[in-house]
Amino acid sequence: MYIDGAAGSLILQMLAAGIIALGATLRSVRESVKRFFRGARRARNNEE
Amino acid sequence: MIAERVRGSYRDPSGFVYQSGGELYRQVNTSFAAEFDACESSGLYDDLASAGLLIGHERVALDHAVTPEAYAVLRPTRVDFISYPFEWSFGELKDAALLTLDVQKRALERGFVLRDASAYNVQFQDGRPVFIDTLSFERRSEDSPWRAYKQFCEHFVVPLAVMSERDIRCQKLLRSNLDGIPLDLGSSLLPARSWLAPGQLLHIHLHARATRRYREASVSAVAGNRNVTAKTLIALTESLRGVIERLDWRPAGTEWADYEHDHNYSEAAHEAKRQLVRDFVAASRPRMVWDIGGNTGMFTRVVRSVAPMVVCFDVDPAAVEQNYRRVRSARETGILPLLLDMMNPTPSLGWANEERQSIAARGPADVVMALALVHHLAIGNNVPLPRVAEAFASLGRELVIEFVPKSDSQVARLLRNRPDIFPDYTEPEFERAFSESFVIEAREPIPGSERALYRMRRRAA
Repeated sequence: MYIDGAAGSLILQMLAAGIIALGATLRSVRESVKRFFRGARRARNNEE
Repeated sequence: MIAERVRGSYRDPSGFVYQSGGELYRQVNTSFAAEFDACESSGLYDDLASAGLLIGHERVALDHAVTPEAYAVLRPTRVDFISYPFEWSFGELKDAALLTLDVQKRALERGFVLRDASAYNVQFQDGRPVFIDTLSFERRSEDSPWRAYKQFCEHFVVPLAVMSERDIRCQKLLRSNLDGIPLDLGSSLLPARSWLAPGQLLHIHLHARATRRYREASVSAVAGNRNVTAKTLIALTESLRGVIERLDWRPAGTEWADYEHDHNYSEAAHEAKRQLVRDFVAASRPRMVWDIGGNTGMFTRVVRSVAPMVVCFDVDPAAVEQNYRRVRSARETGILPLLLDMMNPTPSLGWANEERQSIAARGPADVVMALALVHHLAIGNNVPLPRVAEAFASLGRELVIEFVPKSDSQVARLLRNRPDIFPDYTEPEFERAFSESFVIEAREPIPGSERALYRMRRRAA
């Protein structure tokens, strides 16, 4: 590696790994919920 | 054949870029052979290049190498014009950030990682950002954090955040901070509400504090043997993408961005001017045109039909942003909107003042256009006409320039609240001043106005 990663930057990633992963999970759940409601709305519109 | 190293290509010992015989090459050094082969055989290069994310290259004979350390030599596809992050609009920097994250995500999915995340690894070609540093990838060591995370934040997240949340003029900080805006500076510039935005809190504020607190620390002593898996790094990439996507800046309301709807021409006169400008530029059969003070690119588009590449410079971030948005939405090619202040144009910068090239060093353009600009320089900024001529002569071989007389309402506006100390600002004096640096080849009055358009050729030095 030819750039200095900076200790604090590396430590932050290691300490915050759980939070980052949790954030990704929450985003994924939110997207699934959005998709579900979008699909339901589309189906309702098609029925009408 | 004499090889000339690209002066900004010196930091990475894995290789360097150079020019030889009018071609651009990248030497890969033996020390990087294993990583290069792994990257090539994994299909990552092909994947990224075919998706338009990475500049293409062909491997050429080792005869082209410059030093004995050479393992391979590549000939990358050239971009039309090299530009720098401090010359980009908000949208250009944002798209460059998103491109870098796309590249990082694809690399992670194949077991690789970006070794650096410099904004200078991105250039614009055909209206889109493209990653140009082929040697930025290496195999990811098991469960290690991303060493380029801080660099990414300082090159992209902090600049975009302060431009969006504080003031668009914070963009200028990129010119004095070639390694990005420091985290602690970004943290202190951002408004208090940014602490409530989870992404900015983590990637800027806490990041700045962690960097300061653990400056001298041993990573293993503080974090123990905690792992950062590939899945976590992909989540980090997604988190950064979320922050970047939420940052926005809407160009509106500045004097220049409204110019297209606020000029003093009738539509017939405007069409006549468009035709005249197109004819004047076409006469030079240029490959590269620089439209200085081109605002949102109206005349850039007029001359694009007669030139394969037009770089449109303007001092106003709103005008450049609007221009770039138009390029993106209409998928225009051969147009590059950039920020440039003619009163303080990009100088040579960086190590030994030669790492990043001045605007003049990236020329000369075949044709420089300066429409409705000379009065802003000569009257708005007190630059004597001979020095205006000298500046343009340093940028291009030919010049298409509009003279705007004092009787014009736009000049009257500049003189409205100040004494007229410009007795030499007349058309005969303009011609005399420019004749020192140029040969005047044509002059045509612009119908419906008192202005005139000139085509000039630079005098041999």
